[in-house]
Amino acid sequence: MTLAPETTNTEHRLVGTGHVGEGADRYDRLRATGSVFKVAEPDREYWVVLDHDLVRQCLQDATTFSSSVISPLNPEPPFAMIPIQLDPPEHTQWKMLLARYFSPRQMEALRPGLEARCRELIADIKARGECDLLHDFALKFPTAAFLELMGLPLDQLPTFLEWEKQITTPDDKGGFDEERQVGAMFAVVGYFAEEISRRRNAGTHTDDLLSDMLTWEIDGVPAPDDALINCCVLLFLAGLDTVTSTLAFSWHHLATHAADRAHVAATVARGEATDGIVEELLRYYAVPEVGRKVTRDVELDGHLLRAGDLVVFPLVTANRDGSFLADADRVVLDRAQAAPHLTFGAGPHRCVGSHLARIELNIALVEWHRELPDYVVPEGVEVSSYWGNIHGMYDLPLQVVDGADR
Amino acid sequence: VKVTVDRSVCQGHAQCNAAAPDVYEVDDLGYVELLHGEVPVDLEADARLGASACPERALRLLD
Repeated sequence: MTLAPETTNTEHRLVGTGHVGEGADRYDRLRATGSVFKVAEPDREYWVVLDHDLVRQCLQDATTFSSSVISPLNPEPPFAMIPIQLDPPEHTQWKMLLARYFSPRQMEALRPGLEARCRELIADIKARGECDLLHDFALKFPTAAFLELMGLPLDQLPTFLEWEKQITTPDDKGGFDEERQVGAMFAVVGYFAEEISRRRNAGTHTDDLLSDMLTWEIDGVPAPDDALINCCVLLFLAGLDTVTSTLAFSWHHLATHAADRAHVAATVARGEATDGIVEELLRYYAVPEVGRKVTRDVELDGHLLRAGDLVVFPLVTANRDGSFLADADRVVLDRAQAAPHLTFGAGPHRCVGSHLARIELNIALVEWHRELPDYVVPEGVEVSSYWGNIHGMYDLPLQVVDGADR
Repeated sequence: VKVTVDRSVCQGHAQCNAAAPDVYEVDDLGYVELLHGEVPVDLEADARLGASACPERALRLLD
């Protein structure tokens, strides 16, 4: 086997800011010229894999593509988040324990609480006739849902929102401040350490995920508190900014595409299911960039990846690959069937919270459009976004258009 | 038509069930359970729809 000499891309940057579409578009432009790239930034080197089939196959091969490193931004993670940074077979027991709490059936039981929380937020926005989607809705809704699921008091919401911001958002200059990020992560670790120890000492069992976690066994022995804390940190990180950013990109799309907005409003007004709409928005605006560490030399589409190399899989561009789906490069809300996208990953590390994300997005879409079918980004407002491990927005001002103005 | 599932590949996305609930059930963890050994003729289209919804490509139809 002879491989062509490797050309290194020195232009690409994992972290940056720009207009809303750019985080994904820059990968789509790269994918038009190849499926696998080697990138050398001043501070880090990694591979980028862009082809839909290749991304799926690599993520399914957890033996070759290890989750011990899930981002080139953190090549030496300060601690292993459980279970996302464990490899099988250790990973499997945790995943099975968690899957029971996040199954489609279990999620339906959460529906009434989620709907009530969503309606409160929307009533407040309706009364004002305008909002910042991020701060008034997209950050609050999934975070409140997380607190409720875990059995944590809702008055912790502002604290959690601040930690979430410090961990996931680039600093004001669009740079990546590892010190700030790791500091906030340790604050979250400290919070859960205290809460777990408080519950152990109180000896009472409440009906929520966190209390149930205290009874979990791994390999037949009680799961150690350190591991449980790490698992809590993961649930916090994985479930919040992802849904927040998906809400932001979805609402930005709808606010700037009148026909799609009208389609959603009409679907909701007819009382029809919104699952297909949610799947298409999830596909087109996939926000995570998933990383892996290569465990053995492996060839990918004519490129030789060496053991120890880091790889990034930008899921959004895999989802827009025309070889996997017709009209993949645009949003089509009424597709005959939902595309089998990779927004929740593939393989053993498939997002365990996918069904929670789906029900949250469906509820948000229905409850919002029932009350606020028409809305726009105010004239003259430039919305910008950032990208890195997660693509997101700093803020998204929206102006409600009421019936009389239409 | 007959459906086969590769258990080592199914990861509980549950999209087969979302697309075709009369052919694909999911268990308490969200993993697929096939409702028919041999899919009835009137559900063949559903069976194909559900199989093509799988992001892992874990489902195969054998004619």
